[in-house]
Amino acid sequence: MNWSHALRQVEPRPWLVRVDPRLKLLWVATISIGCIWFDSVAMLAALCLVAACPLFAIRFPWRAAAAYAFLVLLVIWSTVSSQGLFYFDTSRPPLFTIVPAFTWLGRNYSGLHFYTEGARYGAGQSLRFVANLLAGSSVALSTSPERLMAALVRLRIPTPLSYMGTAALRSIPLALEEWAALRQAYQLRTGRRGVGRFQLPRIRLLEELRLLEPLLANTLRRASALAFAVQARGFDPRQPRTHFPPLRMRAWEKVACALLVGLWIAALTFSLAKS
Amino acid sequence: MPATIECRRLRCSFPTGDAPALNDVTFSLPPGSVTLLIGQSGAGKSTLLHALAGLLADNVQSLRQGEIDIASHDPQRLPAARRAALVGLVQQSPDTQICTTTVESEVAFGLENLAIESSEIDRRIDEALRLVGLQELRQRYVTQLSGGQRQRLVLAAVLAMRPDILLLDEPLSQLDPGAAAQFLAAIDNLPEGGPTIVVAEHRTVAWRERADQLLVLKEGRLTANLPRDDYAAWDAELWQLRAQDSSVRSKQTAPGASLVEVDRLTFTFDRRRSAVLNDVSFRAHAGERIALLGANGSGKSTLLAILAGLHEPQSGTLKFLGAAAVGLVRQNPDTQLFCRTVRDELAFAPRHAGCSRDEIGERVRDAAERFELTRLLARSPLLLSQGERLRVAVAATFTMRASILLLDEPTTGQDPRHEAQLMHTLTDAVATGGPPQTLIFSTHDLQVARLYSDRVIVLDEGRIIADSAPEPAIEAFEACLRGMVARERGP
Repeated sequence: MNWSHALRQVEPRPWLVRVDPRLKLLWVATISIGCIWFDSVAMLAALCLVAACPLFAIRFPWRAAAAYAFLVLLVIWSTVSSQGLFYFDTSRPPLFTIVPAFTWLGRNYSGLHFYTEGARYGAGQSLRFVANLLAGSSVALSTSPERLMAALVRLRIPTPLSYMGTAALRSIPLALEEWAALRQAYQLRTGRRGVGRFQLPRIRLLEELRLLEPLLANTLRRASALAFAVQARGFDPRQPRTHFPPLRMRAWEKVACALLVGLWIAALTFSLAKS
Repeated sequence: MPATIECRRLRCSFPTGDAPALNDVTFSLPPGSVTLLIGQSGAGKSTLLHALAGLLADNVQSLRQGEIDIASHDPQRLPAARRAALVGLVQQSPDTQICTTTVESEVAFGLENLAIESSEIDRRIDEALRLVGLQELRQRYVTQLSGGQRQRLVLAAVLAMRPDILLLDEPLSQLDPGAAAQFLAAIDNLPEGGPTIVVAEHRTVAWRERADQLLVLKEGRLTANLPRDDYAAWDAELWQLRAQDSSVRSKQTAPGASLVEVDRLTFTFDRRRSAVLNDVSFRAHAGERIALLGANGSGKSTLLAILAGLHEPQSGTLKFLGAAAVGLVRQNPDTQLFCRTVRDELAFAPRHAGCSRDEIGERVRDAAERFELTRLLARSPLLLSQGERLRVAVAATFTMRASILLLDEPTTGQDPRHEAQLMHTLTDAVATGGPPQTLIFSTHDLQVARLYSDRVIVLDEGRIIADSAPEPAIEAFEACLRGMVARERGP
């Protein structure tokens, strides 16, 4: 699958694009606080659903949507499995046993079990990660880097950091494009042309790793060219600059921000009272 | 306000270079003038432009001596915003200069850096986009623009800052003739009292009528400073390498057996949109050097990618006859080099083809000699100059000994000497029986098509509109371009 091509086909609905990026950032922060606040798997799963809501206003090519869903499931499955198998806390009743305890050459082995507590812990950790991933990607896919930078600067994040962050975001599709081009060049020179070629996973992994060095070199070259271009256009992170178009929050956005901040305050008060 | 440029005994050197990049350069350019700066690759043209823009010290460790005086300022000593308001720079590749994602935000970027009020930014964006003919595309994403439109966008972004000096570093080198004409029209549109312009360019013809003065750089020294009247002599010197075309043509051979047959080929990236290639049919024979001409987006690169097996056509047939192997070199060498050394790069294809150690060594030696890479064999390809990197990419494909070699814009960004060297090597190989036996290359440079091909295929919106000997096909292409430019300008 050509990821750079897929990224270019992602189309957020215009209303989502127009939402003030400060509100979007506040939304991501609220999801993150929720991840810290909630402990039960059910609540974290609900939080993931809430975090995924803005993604329904973004049109993906179906293959990209399927790949994204697969990635999310893979994260959850792998974390649950690894924690279920290797959880090491004292209270860990096994959910089921894969290999029973046995003795071999005079030594006792405890066997291989799948622990309920481990699975629950893994589910919690992975759902936290997924909730942040969903919220973060909805913002990244529906906000132009320029508006995001304006929002970060207005939120008092230092200009150099804001610019670096948004420039890195912008370079993702370019890096994916370059990677695809490097892979094509590699295939052409090895004589493996065309769709549907088969390769052993280990060989494929080694080939992909081999492309990291030129990818890094090209990224550095592009970063240097971009630095030159922004300097030629008078960019100096230490100097004040204006933003066009200026960010203006609409009434409903202000209300939404107030609600989110209210939620934070309520959560903080509740947790202090509880402790 | 256009400003005078005074440059006195300018000398620039870099820690990595043996000789100074600029040495004792002195000249004076009157306000409002247009100056053409010529010289071979490495002569110091870009260094001079970067020095005039005050951008040398910011990016590379360099030692600059001498004086530059632009409107009583040395740009290097000015804060970034004031410097950018004084001197604007447009470089060769639009892709390395675009700082944002949309047309509007790109023009606004520089104005934001000048801390201009939002209402004034809005007005200036309109003004600058109208000047370059992009006002209809204000809300578009930059990725939706053609190469020519992107270069005009960079020009608009610089002009919006109303600089006193406008520096153009090979702005036409990556544009097809139609896009170049539109860029030049934008320059011609500049109002009376516009900036003083200095343009470095290999393609001097386009600027001959526009420039008032000619500066010639050779190995960092200013060897001539001439008024408009003396152009002919300097043109002749610059293009003398290209004049070797008679020797290329003398090796022309009659077409041999058919190697590839393309029949009614149609291709689209997205079924909801129109076809990128439509009903394309042709045959390529051994001994042929075929140039593909067409405006940006006409389907040249897609056709080459299909021939290389990177895309499956939706309909039509593509038949390789005999044991035809195909090699493809794309325009950007940086996405084609992935080995530690140039030697590994050249040995990569034969090693994967299962050649013996002796055979690999022989192929590497042969390619290194042909493309003048012998002294670079132990170096990392990622650390070479752009021209050298392209030569490595071509040589690395050359060692495949493919019978059909496909090149996508091989001469873009190359100076005439390197361009001639590269194309002579390849066309000579075809003329002497190969490999490669057939060379198919896309280009937007009509001179390259004239000199290095014996057959030209012209594509327009995915269809072949001419397939013949170079001259008649080029005439058909020029007529097609005139139509395109007229359509864009409107009734």
